[in-house]
Amino acid sequence: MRFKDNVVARLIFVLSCLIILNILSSYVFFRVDFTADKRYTLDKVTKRILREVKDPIIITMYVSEDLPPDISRTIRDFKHLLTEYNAHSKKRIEIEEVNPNSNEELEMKAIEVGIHPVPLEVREKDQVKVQKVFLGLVIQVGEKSETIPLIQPGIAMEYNLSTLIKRLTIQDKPKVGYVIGHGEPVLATLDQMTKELSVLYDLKTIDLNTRMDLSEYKAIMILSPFEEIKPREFRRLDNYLATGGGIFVGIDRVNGILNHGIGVGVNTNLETWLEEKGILVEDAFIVDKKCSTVTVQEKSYFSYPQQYNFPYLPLITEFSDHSITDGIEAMILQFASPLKYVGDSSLVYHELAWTSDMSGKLKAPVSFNIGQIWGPSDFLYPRQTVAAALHGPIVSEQEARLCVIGDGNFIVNGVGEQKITIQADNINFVANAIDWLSDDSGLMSLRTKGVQSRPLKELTDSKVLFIKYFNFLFPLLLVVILGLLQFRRRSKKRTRLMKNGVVK
Amino acid sequence: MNQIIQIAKRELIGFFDSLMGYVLIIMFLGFSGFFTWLYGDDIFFIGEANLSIFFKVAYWSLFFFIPSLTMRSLTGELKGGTLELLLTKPISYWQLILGKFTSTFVLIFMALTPSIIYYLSLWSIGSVDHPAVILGYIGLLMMSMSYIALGIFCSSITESPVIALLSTLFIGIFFHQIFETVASSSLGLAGSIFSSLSMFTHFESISRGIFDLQDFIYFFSIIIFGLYASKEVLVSRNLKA
Repeated sequence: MRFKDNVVARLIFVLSCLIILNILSSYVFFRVDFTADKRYTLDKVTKRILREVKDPIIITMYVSEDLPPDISRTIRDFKHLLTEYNAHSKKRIEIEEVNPNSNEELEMKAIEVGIHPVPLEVREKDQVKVQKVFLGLVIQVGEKSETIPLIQPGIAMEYNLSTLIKRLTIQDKPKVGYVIGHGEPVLATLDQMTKELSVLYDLKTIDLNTRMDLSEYKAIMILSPFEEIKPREFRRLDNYLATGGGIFVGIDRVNGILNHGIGVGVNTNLETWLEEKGILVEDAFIVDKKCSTVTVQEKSYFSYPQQYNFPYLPLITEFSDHSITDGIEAMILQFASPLKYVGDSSLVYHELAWTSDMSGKLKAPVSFNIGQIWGPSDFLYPRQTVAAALHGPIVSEQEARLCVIGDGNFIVNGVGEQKITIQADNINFVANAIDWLSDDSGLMSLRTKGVQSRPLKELTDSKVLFIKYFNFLFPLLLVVILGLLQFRRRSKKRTRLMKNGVVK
Repeated sequence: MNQIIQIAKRELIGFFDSLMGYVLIIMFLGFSGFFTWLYGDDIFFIGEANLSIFFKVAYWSLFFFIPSLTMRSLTGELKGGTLELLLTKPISYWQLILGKFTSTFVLIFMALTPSIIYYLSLWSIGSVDHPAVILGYIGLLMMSMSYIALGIFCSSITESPVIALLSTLFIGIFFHQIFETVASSSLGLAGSIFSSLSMFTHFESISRGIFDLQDFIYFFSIIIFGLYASKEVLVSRNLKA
């Protein structure tokens, strides 16, 4: 009996030690990120931003207590993230925790700073109840502050946190000029892009007809002009490039007017100016089998929306290895034109993005037929370049930069009821391009961090079927064959042992 | 060490001589292959080059297969009275238990090995996050080791393989699912405790490609406790006899 007690005591002792070890391990943060893209490790951009921090940063977390475990885990992971931030900022980050549910005053304060309670369905004592929880934080640097109203699970928090810290600590935002006066989309229609660029830049409209000093702009954007640009305006752009400036051009060389079912060429002289620099934008529509869809209201007995693949909206998934395209996976263009380099070797020309292997080009004007059946003969021009970067002594001896994409509408959200959400990578492309033109690594790698998907290659149906059944059956067959071999070996051994004279 | 290897070898030969090893490996690969490649949210349905669906299926199928492998680990020796005979040889309790543990672990390893074909196939048709896949396999092996240790412990407390099987499944289901379910409906500290007891929490953490000390300590704690408890039960039984 005494011994039995001893066994139980020993088991309890070992169990207690293991429990203590587990509790201690929850306080020790030791984690190694083995993912190929290091998605759970602080990005180099974040580390750089934190190194540049001079003033103390106060982070006040407004987080409720008694949260469900999955949300607790998110908060715990977020606190670990903050710990890493603190370490990289040479302990300049001070973290405070507040539970707004503890009293009304704190609750009001949380709402005042922009953190609103989130209704959360929790199960407690056989009842499902809705609990209002606070999961936000305020970052404060000096007098300035920014709010993250909701801490979300996943790696997106690093981007949010780093951009806000950057926004708060940046002293003077460099200016980026947006050319207007030739029918370009107004900034209000470029909602996503302006939000993204406003983190690091001060986006200002510029009219090239007025006398203004362009040298104060880190980069200039020309997006989808539809009216003629005058020679003196180009001279100003040339002077800007001569001083080492960077220009982003999103050119609509062709225009698709879907309501009329036609597509026409567009001449603004921008194409001539670009050709002088060495980039020829063809007045042709790119068509690609890999494309986005359009919704058409079918009218039969009932009216219903029908989706059609529309090759004039190419889905771009082929990108070169360049800082502008770092981490970018898919862009959707609309009525794009192909680019070609016609310059000399004194400049460095870098193709950035291509159409798929099943693409073609149709010279403007064209008429659209939504229900058209597309065959291989329509896609005879594979891998057409749709975006390119050029740098070197473009105008003078001074090194200048130019980034061109053969589509100007690809980042236009529109306004009112016509407002659409643009593919995130379209915006990332422009933001990365501005970072590159400004010669600033900006937030390039952070923007696309963790969004990397790993799609399967496009395979024929027969190949898919083969891979499916091969993977299902081959391992089974392998084990069956091994089993039969083993069975045969054993049978032989048994027969040998049963022979007369073997066992005496 | 030599004794451990000898015991493990003897056990493995037993598995394959009785065809039990083959049947279980075929069933495991059949289930895994079917759900990974042919049915439901299979790889082509998801369209992503990762093995997460295989890890999910294996997470459940191994939970059922391991107890059926360990149910006879010690019950056979106890029922047949061969334990005393075995212990008259220069073999310690630890060597016996580790031998049994190693044999089952090797069998699970052998069951998982053909699934490398899945990995190679996937690699040929997409860009695979190799370290994440490797850690996914490590997660499966850690989970398997935990259930093997639990299974051996359950087989040490009874002479009936059926009771050993059922008790392993009973204890295992708490770690495998119940703690997770309870955690999802609990708040605050209670929720955190149940969540950290759940094997799913730790397995999921490893299989996303992260080496977290906490997860490994959790798995090793179950393994150590399972094996230590088995040894203590055997010592107690032998002295009683």
